Amino acid sequence: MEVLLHDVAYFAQSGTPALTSGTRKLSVVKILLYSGQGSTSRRKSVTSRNPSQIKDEIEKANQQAVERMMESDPVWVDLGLARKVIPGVKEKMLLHAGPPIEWDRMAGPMKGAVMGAAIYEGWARDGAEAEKLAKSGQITFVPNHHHNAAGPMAGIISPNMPVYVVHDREYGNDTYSNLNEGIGKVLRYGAYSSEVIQRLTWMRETLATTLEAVIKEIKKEKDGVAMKPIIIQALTMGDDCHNRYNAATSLFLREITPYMIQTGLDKKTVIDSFNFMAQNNFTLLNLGMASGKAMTLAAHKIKYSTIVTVLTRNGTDAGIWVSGLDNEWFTAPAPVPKGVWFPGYSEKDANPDLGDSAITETAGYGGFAMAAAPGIVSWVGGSVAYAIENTQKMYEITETKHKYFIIPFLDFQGTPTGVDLRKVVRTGITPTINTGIAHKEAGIGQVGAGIVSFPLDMFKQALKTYAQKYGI
Amino acid sequence: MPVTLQAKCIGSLALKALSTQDSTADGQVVNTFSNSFYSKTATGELVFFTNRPLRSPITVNLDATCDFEHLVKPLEPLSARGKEIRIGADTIIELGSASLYESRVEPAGKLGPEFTRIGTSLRLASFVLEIIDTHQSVLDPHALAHSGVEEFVSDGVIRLRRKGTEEQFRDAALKIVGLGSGFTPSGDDTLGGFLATYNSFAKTTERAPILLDSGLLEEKTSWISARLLDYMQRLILDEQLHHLIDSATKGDQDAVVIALQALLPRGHTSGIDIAVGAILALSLIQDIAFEKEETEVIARALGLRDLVVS
Repeated sequence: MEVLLHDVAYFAQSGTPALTSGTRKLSVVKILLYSGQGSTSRRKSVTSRNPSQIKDEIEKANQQAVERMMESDPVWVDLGLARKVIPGVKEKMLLHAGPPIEWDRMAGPMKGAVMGAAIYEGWARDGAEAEKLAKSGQITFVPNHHHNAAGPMAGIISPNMPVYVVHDREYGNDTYSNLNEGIGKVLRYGAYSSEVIQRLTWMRETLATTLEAVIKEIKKEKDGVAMKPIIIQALTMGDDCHNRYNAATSLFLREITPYMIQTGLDKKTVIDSFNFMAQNNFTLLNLGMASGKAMTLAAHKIKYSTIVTVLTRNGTDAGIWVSGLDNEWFTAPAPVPKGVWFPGYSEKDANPDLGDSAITETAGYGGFAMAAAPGIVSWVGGSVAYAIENTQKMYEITETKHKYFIIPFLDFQGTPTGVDLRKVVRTGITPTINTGIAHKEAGIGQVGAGIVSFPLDMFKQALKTYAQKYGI
Repeated sequence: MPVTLQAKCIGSLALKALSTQDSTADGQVVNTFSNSFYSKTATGELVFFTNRPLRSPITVNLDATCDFEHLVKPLEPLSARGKEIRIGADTIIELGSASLYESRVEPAGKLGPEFTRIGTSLRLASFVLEIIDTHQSVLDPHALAHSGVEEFVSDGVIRLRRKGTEEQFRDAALKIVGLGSGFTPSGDDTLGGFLATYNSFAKTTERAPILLDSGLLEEKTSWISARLLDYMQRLILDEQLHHLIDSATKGDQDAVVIALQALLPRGHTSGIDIAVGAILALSLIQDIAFEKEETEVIARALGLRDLVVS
């Protein structure tokens, strides 16, 4: 006789905890019961059930996720103090890069940046007071990603720091990032000397004033500054848009300079602001990151999707989010980059990797587009061949090739886009990014730049959790 | 000019095999890849050289970034003298600073109730295998070895639940040796994963370990694959499989899933095939130890669905 049963019934019959959660559609199996030849025992033959429906659901969800990631349209629309523009940011709260972490486990550069932010905010007069305050538990530490923000390296955003507001015209999300200070002795690398605090104060009082006036002028004519066209163009001009923003910064300045002149601000303010941005090739990094955050946020929280929507690290732990697993963190110890060192420094000085900047790779540019940026190897190490090889390798773990971000050198192929958790675990290849390197001690700053791969363990943990959520 | 490579670690069996070479009968390289190469010693043992970190009793882990395909050629002679291995005229491997890796599989004397927890791990791991790319592995219905492994499960694995069916199992097992595509055929990998796991728990389930005749294995598959399968059945295991056995022994649900996932990147499909064998064996052990009948369910969850079960 022939009977049709649902999987759930079959599993239940077999004494296995039933598939009762309803998290996946149940398929039908066909069970044939007959007498075994020359035997009194009953033989069961199970013919193949429908091809895996869950796999189809995942494919559909992943396609939707990467489609949204690619169609996201981030536009710089505003600039203001974090406490005024980022929902949920309060007094004595510091946003930071990476997965959640408390003071005791923070690495040197993260601690240094926290101390510098406390001095900048006027919560402490010096490093010793700042450290005491941080230890006391009076400061709340929250990951940037919990507030749709992203910050490079330590990524500290304090309530009175000016931040860019980026609006996704396609999906309506707002994302945020702070302003870039330049390289060397800077807060994001854990430096907190008086020159660092003075620069941050100048940025709030002068640079932010200029940029606020600029965006107001721009908005008289249009929505803001569309970021995707700048990234698209910069990728064809030798940037990877993570560690090389030379072209993107120039393109941005070309776009905003006429409006700077129109602001009516005094000449010195305008010139100082222009020069500060023009002399820093990383000026556009932070806006590039807020844009990446908008793109990946559009792909987040899609049921069944195995696309990674956050790749980040805080100097102690690396962490990821997966689209179909909401805001659950999967972490592993942060790796130490292999790099090119500033004079006088070496690998022994390096802190494990930190920063939210891998949001660029998560969105399909940055290290994943290294083949577009051969010049970057002089900054992060490796060879041109390695840069190309890295991009090629990332195709093995991503869902698609980007529609808009293209690499001329690879015959105008799209960049590898949408890291698929399943492919990472299957191949053992993890996302490889380029990054700045901070000194392991608080207060020193940047000591190099290099290349780093994310640890595999957190992807395995995430896939196990995915199986728990959707599998049984 | 000779190239000198440093060994970071040497497996205990590799050390023994290389030390027992005599000066009149050197071994030779039998196969090379960019990251690794295989050699056959004068005593007929396989020694695996790699620049990857995974350790095993038969492995020499090298501190090297070079492409071995350009450095070492198949059929080149290999000789070991003191703390040095010479390959052909141009390659020297120094063992002086290498650490020793020894593998000891020590399952618990008796399986405690915590072992039943791994049932959930096996279902989770089966789900992971269902959603990843298993193209050309035993789980691919279009792969050469797929139906053969389904028969192996029906005629060998499930019957093995009953004592006294070892001979039937051997017959079913030998049918999949050499079956499938790949450097190590899928059938060999699946069987290797199964026997490594089953034999690790043989004592605790009061069963005799199942050892297939190594000569027969060499008749049915390539020399390298036969040797690897033989090592696995004799519990000469790499640290990933070792970790899997340890985790299962402890009934550590999470660690078992992670350990099974850790196997997946291995080779083209070897990791998947070994994991399938290990999952089937763990399920069978659970059935034997706790009088359950879940192996069919797990096999079907894995995608081995055309089972004929008596």
